[in-house]
Amino acid sequence: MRREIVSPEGFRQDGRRPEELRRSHFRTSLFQQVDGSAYVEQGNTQCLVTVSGPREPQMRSKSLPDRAVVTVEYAVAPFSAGERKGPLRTNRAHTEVAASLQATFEAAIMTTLFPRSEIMICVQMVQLDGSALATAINAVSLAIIDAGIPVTDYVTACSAGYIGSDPVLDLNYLEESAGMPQLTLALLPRTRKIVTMAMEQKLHLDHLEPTAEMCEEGCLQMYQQMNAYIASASKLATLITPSA
Amino acid sequence: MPLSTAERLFAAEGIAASLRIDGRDPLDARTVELETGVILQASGSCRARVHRGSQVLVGAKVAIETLDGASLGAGTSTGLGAALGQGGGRIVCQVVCDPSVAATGGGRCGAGSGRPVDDLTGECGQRLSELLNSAASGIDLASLVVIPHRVGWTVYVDVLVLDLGGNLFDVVLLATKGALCNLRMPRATVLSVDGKQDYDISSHETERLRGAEAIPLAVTCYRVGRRFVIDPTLEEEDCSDLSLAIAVNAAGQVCYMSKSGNGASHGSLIKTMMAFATRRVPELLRVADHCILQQGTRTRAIQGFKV
Repeated sequence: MRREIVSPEGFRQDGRRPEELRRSHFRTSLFQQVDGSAYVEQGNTQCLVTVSGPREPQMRSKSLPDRAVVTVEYAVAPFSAGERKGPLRTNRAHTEVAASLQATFEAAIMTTLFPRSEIMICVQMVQLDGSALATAINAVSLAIIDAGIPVTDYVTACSAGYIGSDPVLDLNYLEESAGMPQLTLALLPRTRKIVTMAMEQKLHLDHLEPTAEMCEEGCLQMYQQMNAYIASASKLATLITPSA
Repeated sequence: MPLSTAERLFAAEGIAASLRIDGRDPLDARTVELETGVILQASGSCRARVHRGSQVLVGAKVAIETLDGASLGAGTSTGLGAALGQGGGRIVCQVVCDPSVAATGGGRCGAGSGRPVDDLTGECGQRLSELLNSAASGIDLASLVVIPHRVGWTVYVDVLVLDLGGNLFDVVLLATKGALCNLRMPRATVLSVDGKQDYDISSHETERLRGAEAIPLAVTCYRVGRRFVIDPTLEEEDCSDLSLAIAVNAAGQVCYMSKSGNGASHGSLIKTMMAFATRRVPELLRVADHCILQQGTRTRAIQGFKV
């Protein structure tokens, strides 16, 4: 029996409306040995990010004379998905995600302020339940802010799919595996500039616009949540360590 | 960054004077925070975080495995041969590092020689696997067998090292115990169809891993100069040339021992270390068991990582 993604009453299998995000949690400053770290939970997708830098590049040959290099490591925990997967040395899908994260954050970080240095971003997916790339982008964004690296704006991301005649926001694993086209969008929310747009299945051009619009709306909602978290976290930090 | 000679001397002479860098006694441990059931996708999970120290996340998953002729031939090297010796069930352990640990921890940890992180995690996984698959682990490995010599459960224990702050093995074993106590596996029933044995896996009935509460805990003693310390920081670990991991169960029996580091020692120091471990671990077990059992099974709200 194939279950429908959106019921006739307008609810999804997990009880959300089509335009509703999953509940998310944020944490920053989790580790001591790195400059910034963040943990983001969107539904059951959990992601842990650490950022070190700007620092001297570990490989001299990789440094650039005019700006900082952003390197991204992406790893998925063996227990993160339904079926156990042993760690692979090189996984093409992971390399692709890492490359797309790198491109996203090279656009947002003011890399020209730190010539001949390196900013290293390590992404660890702890649990996967759909919208992994979007969750990773949100987590990296928070970790970079936690590290105090200058950025032009937050980068917030969200995914959306298109099923039947309507788009649905923030897909979970069940919805993702139903095979509908999925669009992941990353936005600089204040200017509404799109930095990443990823889509792997085919979708009619007429449907792209409503899907992208819903994604954009989701990104803006995400921005408000993340901004509220950062505001409360930094307030807390100043309370604990008053500037002496 | 490896320690300089002066830094090393500072730490070592401090320990000789019973004064450690963070103000602890040589035989004092840091506090640990445990949280079980943090990963819904895993059959059992636990996160352990040492105050200003290592942080690990353990996820255990179970899979049913059939031992047929083909896998038997190829299996001797992968541990399937060992599984057959036990009639079918086995526990597979693997320790992997978060990429940030792999990138920053290199060349500054481990007994004396600045061992690479891969080396440290490899050793840790090996020790864990040896300990858990032995009779001394307390786990009822026979209960993992569904049909003797044919079908059995494999428990995959995957350890993710999130932060490295010294004393890895003790923390990993503690978190593994938490995850295995938290483990719920589907109930498998054996049916007899026309004289042939077959099995059925229940979709809603689960059972615990029998004997998980009896898993021992370890204390690793690191020799620095003439004395030894426990629960060292990364810097202190770097000053040590010999370490001995001793796993002890609640009855005070030594279940497993493993030495690492390139130093050599007289038997008398080893005896002192063992006497210390057999005294200390039962005490530790009481606290840890209480903490693990109190958390129950996935009843606690799962918030992932608390600051």
